[in-house]
Amino acid sequence: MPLSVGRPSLPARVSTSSVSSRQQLSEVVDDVGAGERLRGILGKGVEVRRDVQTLKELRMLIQQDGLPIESDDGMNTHRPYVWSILLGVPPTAWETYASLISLGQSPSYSKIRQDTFRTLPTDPLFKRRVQESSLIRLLNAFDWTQRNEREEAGGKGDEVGYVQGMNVLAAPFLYMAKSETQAFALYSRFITHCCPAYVKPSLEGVHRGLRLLDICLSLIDPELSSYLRSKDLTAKIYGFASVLTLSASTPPLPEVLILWDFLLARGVHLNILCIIAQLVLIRNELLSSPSPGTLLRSFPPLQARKLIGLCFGFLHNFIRHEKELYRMLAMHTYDEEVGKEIDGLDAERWRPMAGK
Amino acid sequence: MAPFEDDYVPTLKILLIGNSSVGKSALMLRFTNDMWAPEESSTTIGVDFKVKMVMVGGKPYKLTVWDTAGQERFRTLTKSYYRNAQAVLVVYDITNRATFEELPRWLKELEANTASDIVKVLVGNKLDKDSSRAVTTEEGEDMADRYNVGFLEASAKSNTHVKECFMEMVETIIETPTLWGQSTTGLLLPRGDDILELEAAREENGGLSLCQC
Repeated sequence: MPLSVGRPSLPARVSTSSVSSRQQLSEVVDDVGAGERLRGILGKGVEVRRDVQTLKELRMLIQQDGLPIESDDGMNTHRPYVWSILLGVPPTAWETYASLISLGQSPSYSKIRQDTFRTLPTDPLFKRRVQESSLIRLLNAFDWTQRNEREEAGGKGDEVGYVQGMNVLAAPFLYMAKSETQAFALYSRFITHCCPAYVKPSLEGVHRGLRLLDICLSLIDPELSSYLRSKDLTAKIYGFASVLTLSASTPPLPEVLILWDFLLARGVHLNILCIIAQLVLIRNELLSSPSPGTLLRSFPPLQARKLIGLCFGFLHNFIRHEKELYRMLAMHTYDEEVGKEIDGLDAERWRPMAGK
Repeated sequence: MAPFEDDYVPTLKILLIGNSSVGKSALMLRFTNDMWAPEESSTTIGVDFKVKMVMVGGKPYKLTVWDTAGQERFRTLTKSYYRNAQAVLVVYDITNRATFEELPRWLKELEANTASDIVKVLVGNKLDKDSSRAVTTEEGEDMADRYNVGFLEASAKSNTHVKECFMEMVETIIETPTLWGQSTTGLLLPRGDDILELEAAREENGGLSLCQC
């Protein structure tokens, strides 16, 4: 599977091994508990992120068991380290962050302020742990880094700037990180490396993700897909927020963290399949409802482990036949060339009725 | 079920557009659910929609209200929802001058993307904050006149003119024959692509042709 050229190919982007068969997965499993195995992996120190075998073990552990949850608010003391490893983010000096803050208000500042106070407004856990001022600083600082980079590149390339939804993407990082600096470093890496196409001008990556969501649903659940289509309910209508925010817009936040452990371990593109899993969980209600659109206005509360399980079922059952489609899915969040391929896809080809 | 039976309820599509944070979602929620919940309001990412049944002249109508993201990055998406809309509310915030100054952009885009007979209403929201007003009523009226659209000042918070705003649009849609195809049986039919679908469905059922001859 081709990886992007010229930039480090980290596990979080494309995990080629997510296509491994169940037999291969089971080889790694042993009788030791997840917590103990995790401590064993992390005990190897910061060099873990360069150790392919150990990384593989870590990803497998997250996929199969998840990080052990230590309290009701979904926390795991090791998570900040785990995410740092998976995203390849070295410890960041606070001075780096402080210097960005000292630049003051970025050109996106007023847009950022319009959204920060209404970020996950109904989530009491988030409100309790994360102050609005942290969210403002983080988004404003990131806006500066994007602008500075563009300027250094001679002003070439796409327009940059805050996009609605980036506030929601920042929320899990601020919620789980040990410090604001760490949250900033993880968030920056995540946006620029895992899903840069999602925050591009005109949000091309999101539109492509939605297209893939429609196509994958028609392969995975043709009946549900046809029914929703008959009601004009395409991904564009019910899936926009879930695609752009990688499901972080669906509460509760502790479940978002569990889902993100998985997405960071196996690839953020799998969020598309997790959204399909959301639909499949309520498929009977959807199919028997004369107006399923009402049900799709907001998804039911996230149940991360259930979604992960279903997601793997989809992967196992359809990936073998649709390698080309999977390649596009895996790369749509960051690769422009693949993006153009997706734009040129003939969606009819994937329709269940079109002779498949 | 064929859509021509007696219990067929016509569906009307109403779209809300305007800058971020002007209160589009609040207007929708006030109209459809009579709710005001600022503490629960979040940024609309992409699109949101609500359905409400209303009675006009003793007949039921199903309104689908489409609420869109205000940020300019979402424009390509927003445009795709113009299709088949019968009415559009263009919203600005009377306490925020910038949201008013962006109106020509919204109104021009609307002109370019919709049929000329679509019902358009300009709404100055947040009338409850009259004391911190940054746009006068006259200015709002002038803008509406210039683009030949309806005008109203409203408040989702204090529930002022919200119902009027939506219901006047609905009545105008119903009274505007060009927004509808009038069939021989006197049934109201949505126009455009929907008509073609309905025609096809009718022909399949061996029914009447829509044409008058």
